[in-house]
Amino acid sequence: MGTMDKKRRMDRRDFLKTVGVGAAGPGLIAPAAGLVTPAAGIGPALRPETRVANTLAQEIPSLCDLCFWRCGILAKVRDGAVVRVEGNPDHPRSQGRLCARGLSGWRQIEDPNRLKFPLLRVGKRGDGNWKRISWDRALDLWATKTQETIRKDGPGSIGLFSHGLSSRFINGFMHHLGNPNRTAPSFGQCRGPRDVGFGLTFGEGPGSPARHDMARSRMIVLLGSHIGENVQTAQVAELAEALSRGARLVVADPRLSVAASKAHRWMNIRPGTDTALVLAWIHVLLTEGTYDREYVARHTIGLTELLREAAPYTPEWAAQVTQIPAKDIVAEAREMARRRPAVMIHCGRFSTWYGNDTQRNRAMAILTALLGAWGRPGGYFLRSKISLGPRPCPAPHSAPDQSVATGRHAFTQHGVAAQELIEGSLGPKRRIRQWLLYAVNPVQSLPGFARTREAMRKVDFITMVDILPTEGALWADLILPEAGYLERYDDIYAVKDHPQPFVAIRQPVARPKGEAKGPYWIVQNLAHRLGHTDCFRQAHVTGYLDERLAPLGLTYAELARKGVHLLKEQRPYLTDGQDHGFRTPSRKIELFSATLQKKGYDPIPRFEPVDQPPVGWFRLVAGRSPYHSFARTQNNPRLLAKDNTNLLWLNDKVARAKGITDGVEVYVQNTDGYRTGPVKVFVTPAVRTDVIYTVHGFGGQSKALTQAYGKGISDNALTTRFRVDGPTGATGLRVNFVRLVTPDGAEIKGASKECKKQRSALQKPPPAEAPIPSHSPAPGKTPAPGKTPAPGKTPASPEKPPANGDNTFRVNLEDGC
Amino acid sequence: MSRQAMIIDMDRCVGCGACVMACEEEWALPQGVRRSWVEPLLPVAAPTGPMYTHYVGLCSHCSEATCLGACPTGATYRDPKGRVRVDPRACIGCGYCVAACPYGARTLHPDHGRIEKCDFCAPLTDAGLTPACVRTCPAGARIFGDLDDRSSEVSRYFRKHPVRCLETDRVAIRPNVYYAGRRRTIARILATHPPQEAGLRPPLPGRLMKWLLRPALAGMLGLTLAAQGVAYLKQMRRPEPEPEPAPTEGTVPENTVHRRDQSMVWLHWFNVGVWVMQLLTGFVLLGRSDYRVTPPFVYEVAISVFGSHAMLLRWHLVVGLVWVGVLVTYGLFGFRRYLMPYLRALWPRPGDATWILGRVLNFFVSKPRDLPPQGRYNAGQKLCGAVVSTGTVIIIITGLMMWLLPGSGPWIQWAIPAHFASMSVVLVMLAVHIFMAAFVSTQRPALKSMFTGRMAVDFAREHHPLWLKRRRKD
Repeated sequence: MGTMDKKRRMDRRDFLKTVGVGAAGPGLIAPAAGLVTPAAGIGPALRPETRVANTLAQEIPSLCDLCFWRCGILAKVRDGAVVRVEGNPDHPRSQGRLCARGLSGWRQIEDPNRLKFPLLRVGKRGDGNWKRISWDRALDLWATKTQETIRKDGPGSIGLFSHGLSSRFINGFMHHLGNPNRTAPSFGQCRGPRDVGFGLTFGEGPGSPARHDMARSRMIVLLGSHIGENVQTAQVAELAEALSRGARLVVADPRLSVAASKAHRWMNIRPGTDTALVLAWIHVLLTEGTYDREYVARHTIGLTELLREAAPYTPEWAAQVTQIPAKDIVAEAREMARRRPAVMIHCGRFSTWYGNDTQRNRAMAILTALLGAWGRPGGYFLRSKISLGPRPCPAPHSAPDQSVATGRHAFTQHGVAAQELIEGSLGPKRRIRQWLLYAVNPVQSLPGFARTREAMRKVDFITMVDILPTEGALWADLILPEAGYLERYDDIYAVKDHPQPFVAIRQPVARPKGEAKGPYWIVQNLAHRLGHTDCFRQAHVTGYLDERLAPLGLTYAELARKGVHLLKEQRPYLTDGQDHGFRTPSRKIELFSATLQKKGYDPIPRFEPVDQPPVGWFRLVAGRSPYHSFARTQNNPRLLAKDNTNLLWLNDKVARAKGITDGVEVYVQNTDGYRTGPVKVFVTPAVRTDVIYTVHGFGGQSKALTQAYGKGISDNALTTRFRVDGPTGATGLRVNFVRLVTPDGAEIKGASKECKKQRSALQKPPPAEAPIPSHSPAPGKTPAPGKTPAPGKTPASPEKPPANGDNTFRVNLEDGC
Repeated sequence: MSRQAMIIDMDRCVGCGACVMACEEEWALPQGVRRSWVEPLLPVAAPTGPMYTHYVGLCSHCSEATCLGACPTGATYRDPKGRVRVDPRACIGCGYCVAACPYGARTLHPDHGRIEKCDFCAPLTDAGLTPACVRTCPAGARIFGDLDDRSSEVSRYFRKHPVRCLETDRVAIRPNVYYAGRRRTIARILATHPPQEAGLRPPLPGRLMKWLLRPALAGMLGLTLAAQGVAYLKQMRRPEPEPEPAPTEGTVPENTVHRRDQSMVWLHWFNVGVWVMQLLTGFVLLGRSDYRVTPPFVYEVAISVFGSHAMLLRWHLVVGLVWVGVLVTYGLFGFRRYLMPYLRALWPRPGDATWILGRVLNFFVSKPRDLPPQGRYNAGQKLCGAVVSTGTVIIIITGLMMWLLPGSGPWIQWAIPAHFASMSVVLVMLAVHIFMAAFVSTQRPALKSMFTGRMAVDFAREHHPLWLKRRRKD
């Protein structure tokens, strides 16, 4: 019995002990059993990141870089890491708004594919194999190569492709060296024609972002522009605001865009005929006398010539050319007259369409002038002035003209045309010996890849400065990693194209990835190694920024704190009843441009027809996704999750005739035999029978971009041809014809009766009611690569399909080099 | 009381998706978890011509929200500003509400298995800011505020513009997210994304809970209580048995026999405490939803005692865990001394069925028949013990599942009715047990043994003769 008692007592003791543990159960047992996560259900808050927590973070103002709009951002930084990016409400243009891209752009900081160290190519060019080297070695090599080339062939032997705010330093330095051979795809493959077209008319371009006073507009005319799919915060805001105030929206587009779906009239225009539509509107305003007579009389010259030149462009003629009913054209012209001057003839941005683009923009500018909308509320406001301190490189003393410009394009800005640079790198007498790709990916942004590739094979040395290993990086000999937009200082962003001018700063909010460096440091090191110590004299970029801001009575530190500094408002509109000194040679708005005439171009725009695709072929038209900036954002998993591929929009009648149903996968082949795919077809009545539409930027070909690689198709791979716009040298990209094929390359045949009828009508030149003078578009012959394709057969052009037989684009890039 | 609401102006919206990205960034949502969404409605052939628009959606904070009733733990609630919210501390991730939302506005968060949904950015708006989506919307298409406040922007917009909400004849639960814009646009959204009628109710296990278990519980408990009432009346009519002679000092060892260890006595009363606590908190927890078994005022009182719904759930869980700890400790340390003998004692023997049948018959006849002699427990006790023990195990397992497996789909969805059903069955058994112990006067010595651990020999001889014989032999 004694032992039993003892045992019982022990039991009790054990039992009590156990109760003690049991009572503390959730605290002790759960962690020990590895159940910490579920235990959180009864524990503290679940979310690691909430807004309330974020408000405790430090807010650093800076600028977005996902598109040219450069909205103000506030980066929330905690423990040295960005946790969120929000809009900066103090930024006068974006006012605290950000689009999907801007909100998630900070994920680029942690992109595992980032270029982190200077890399030197090993193996063949284009294979994409590199080894890591030190910055010292990289800079020495770069400086040596640059020095050698310049000594042998002069400063013009370096071809610079550059883009964005960060490329200002390299542009300045190349200019300082006396190198004219610089090109900007943002001009030649994007906004060139509109800048020049409006600039020649008003003495200043529409600006960037354009000085649209859209919120006050009573009527908005969009030619091809698809605001909404193409998102710039304030622009979308202003369009929505105008619409809610009852503004009339007219959209001419061969596809029903989101904007067209909101429009009071969608004009399903035949591609390439926008100039005809605008000229017809001019015709109606002039013949009905409903243009702003007082404005035109006071501010413009060339009305007489315009009256004469516009006479043949009747709405009936335009109806046949554009396939828009004449009564609709007239009706909208009358709407414009009724609502002027608050009529926004929106200049868009991407304007390199058909190779007749400067004249189209001239026509739009003239229409704007006739409506009295330039410098008036609801139209375009005037540009302000900001004077900043000097740039880091003084102008060159004197330099031999080593430009590779052909002289065909009198109005190219930012250097020479890209195709001139490429051609200048080829042939026995090539001048360009070295390429410098600064934040430019020539594979996705330039047309006619075959020629680009030839040039990239030919040049002695290719240096690339970028953030991600793009398709272009595969070709580089030396890669220098640039700090991302959240990790660097850029030059001061001075905005004159806003009613209230302002300056804003981009400053680092995160530590650069790996050994990535800011643009000032990179170019400064090159300049100093080359002995140009008169450039980039300030040791650190902030010192330079102080110099730049000095004339405004502002220091870098002040601006860095606020992010944005507003300057005194300048008058954004013309003063009624007073002359205004426009910055044209005549000091007037030039309806008739003597400048153009002098250089051999049409002084008043004429309609210049472009080739139309024959039956079985379609014009390839590309647009935008609101989640992507061209081909730059597909590697951001957040954005890719929202939109990870592109569809091929195909007219439903065509699809029926071809037996293609919605969602079927096809391949697309162009007239040069390039093929890409597979891509899913979206069957819709909302696109014309002669057009195939897809979103630009997909079809990544760089395996180094693990997210973007192989998603969707690349319209640029099919853009093997282009038609050069005379005045600017910009490349019209919407001149490529494609057809649908099966995986083995056989055409998917079949065309509806309606479609055939429509197409055969298109092939005939429109009957002119009045004599429309035939006019050669540009002096000299059409440049070779810009030849428009001979449709229907695979033409023998310089851009032949590669010899290995497999002409799928993606394979070319990997195998062909 | 206010009623927060949002108007989405589809005439302004361009479908750029900035709102969704702001939402994802604000709440650090992983991929696949959505609080709001924008789905493009590409232009297809339509009688009125093609149209390119978007379905922009978020939780509608419906005035007659079906998710509220579907939530078995009461984690989903309507806050004083009219918002339908989820208390993550009370959510067990069962997903009943996911099925019960006609708009698909709720998702289970894969990281912690609890519900993620739009709360109109409550932490922001309560701090005087605007919701993340409203703030970033480039088109200014979202108007947010208190509909009950006539001066708010949303009220003015509401009065100025014709608005509609995504309702059909079949699904009309008064959403508080409204759509302004052309009729055609909203008709398109409704045609392509109609509110799901199936979404008006929880999944099958939830419906079982709702429609089957409550009546079953009520029926079983009712029958038992009625029978007990009858039995009690019969006992009242029976003559009082001879009062037992009062035990005198020092006679106890001779008249009683060791029935159970003190630790078992302790365990019994501990169990009593746990059951009281768990039944109370459990019933109150169900007071918020469609499974309501507690009147609202009881719920209110309980909440005022416990502080909050989440606190109540925490008590339920902590007490349950303590219980598990104690039972497991007993099972481990008393495996040979307590657990195995207990299970052996419960093991059915020939004659058990006869005993139970006879016991029931005796209930109805005036002259009781003799029953087979019983061991440590009589057959009725054995049945009760087996049922309660099995039920306890199921309750504990399902309870742990609810705690540990949020977001586990059908597992947790079925764990809930299993927890509830086991509880119901156990409750019936407990009703009999308590009745016998507390109200049947002949059972007093047994009740007494539950305090002292010793049983009167006379009582043991009469009720557990086999056990007494074996005990004497030892």
